[in-house]
Amino acid sequence: MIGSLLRRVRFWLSGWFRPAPPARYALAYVDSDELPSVIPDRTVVVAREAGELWSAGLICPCGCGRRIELMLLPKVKPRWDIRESQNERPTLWPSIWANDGCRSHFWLRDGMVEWCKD
Amino acid sequence: MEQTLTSPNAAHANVVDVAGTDLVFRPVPVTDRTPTARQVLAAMNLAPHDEYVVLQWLPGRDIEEVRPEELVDMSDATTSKLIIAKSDRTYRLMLNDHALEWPEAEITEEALRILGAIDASLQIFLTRDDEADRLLEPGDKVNLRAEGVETLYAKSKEWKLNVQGVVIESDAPEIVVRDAIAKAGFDVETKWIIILKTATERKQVDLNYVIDLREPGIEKLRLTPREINNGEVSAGFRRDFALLPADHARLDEHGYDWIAMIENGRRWLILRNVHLPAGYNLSVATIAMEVPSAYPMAEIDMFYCSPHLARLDGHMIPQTQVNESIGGRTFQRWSRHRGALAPWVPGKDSVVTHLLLIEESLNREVDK
Ligand SMILES: [Zn+2]
Repeated sequence: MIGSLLRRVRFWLSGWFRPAPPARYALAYVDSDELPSVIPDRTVVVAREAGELWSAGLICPCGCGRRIELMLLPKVKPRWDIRESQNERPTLWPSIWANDGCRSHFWLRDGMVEWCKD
Repeated sequence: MEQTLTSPNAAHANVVDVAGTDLVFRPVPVTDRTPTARQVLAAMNLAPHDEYVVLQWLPGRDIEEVRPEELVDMSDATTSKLIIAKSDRTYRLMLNDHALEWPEAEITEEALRILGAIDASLQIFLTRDDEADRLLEPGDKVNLRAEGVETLYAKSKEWKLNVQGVVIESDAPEIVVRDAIAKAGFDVETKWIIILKTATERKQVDLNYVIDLREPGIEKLRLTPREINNGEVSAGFRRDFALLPADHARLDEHGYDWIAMIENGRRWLILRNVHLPAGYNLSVATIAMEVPSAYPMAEIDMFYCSPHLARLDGHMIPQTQVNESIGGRTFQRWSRHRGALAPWVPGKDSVVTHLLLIEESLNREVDK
């Protein structure tokens, strides 16, 4: 907790403007092998077809607005695991790292964004 | 019974090709240059005549019935063909804009190919009003009993592929992924995660993969931009091995932040952010236990804490002198064993009962 606070302060000091992290991400499913064209804010949308998980989509928590799609299908590289906690909040594993643009790197645990220092 | 013309002196100069509905034609000699349908039936010993239908097919043209006293058109003797079948009626159909009569209530796909001179590169479709036209597969039959005239047509095969929602057609039964993506209007230079989805499998493919479009159903190429990478894998919820479903459920239920990690062949269950009873130098620690590969038949023994725990009152904690390195961190081994009074009972003891033992051990040390 202290660590993440310090990190936020550090971002400020280094001129990285990042809005306050959004409230917790919720979890929603669509019955398709593809994500919908619009992904609601603060929501991880999972494309699920006939019980098969295809991918998870979310809008980048840094505020840049980019759409992030993470494959959940087995044997695909790269791929992620998703877990739904009791309160229906998403946890993704491993961390999510944009290799261009905002270069956000974060964990999503129990719907909460935890920034990684890179 | 009509008189059959079998006289050796009869002129056999004229021949008509005759087939049944199998369309296997064989030559039948006839005496007359302009025979009637009845004369052909007579030449073939087929009687009574009114139980037979005689159809004339001029390949590439229509098929028409020839009435018993009507003359068979011999003007194009090399291609004039008769189809004769025992039937009391004919059925009408349209094939590629030709009007055909057929003596049976069903016609095979094979017969349609012969009658329409439709080669294997073409597919035959039956026109339907309220639904998609029906593709005839080899061996299929079209029922001609329905009211109205069935209409059939042939067209070249289309090999279809859905590329991220855009359906493209290929002239060939195989297509390279790169070409399919370009044809659908997506940028080939973008780094994509490409999944080929067929009726039977989902497979990650690259730009050079050749897709076979002959499988039933329309294959799909599903594209995802490869912009996001996996980050750290050392933390998060790592599941190198499976616990018992009941263990997994109980740990989640109690809100434990846990990972299951295999390191050097040893299986570790690691619980992070475990609250400790008052009296220790820390309020929160990471606790590990080794889950033997024969678990739950084999017992879980001892447990491990990181960082090192110490009593605030300065008293030594017995049997905690050995260190163990787990996942690059040093853990303090607590040598706590079950003993003869409370032995491990397979089927009853588990990760969850071992956690109770850990809790009790941690409490007992600061209760003194
Ligand atoms: Zn971003």
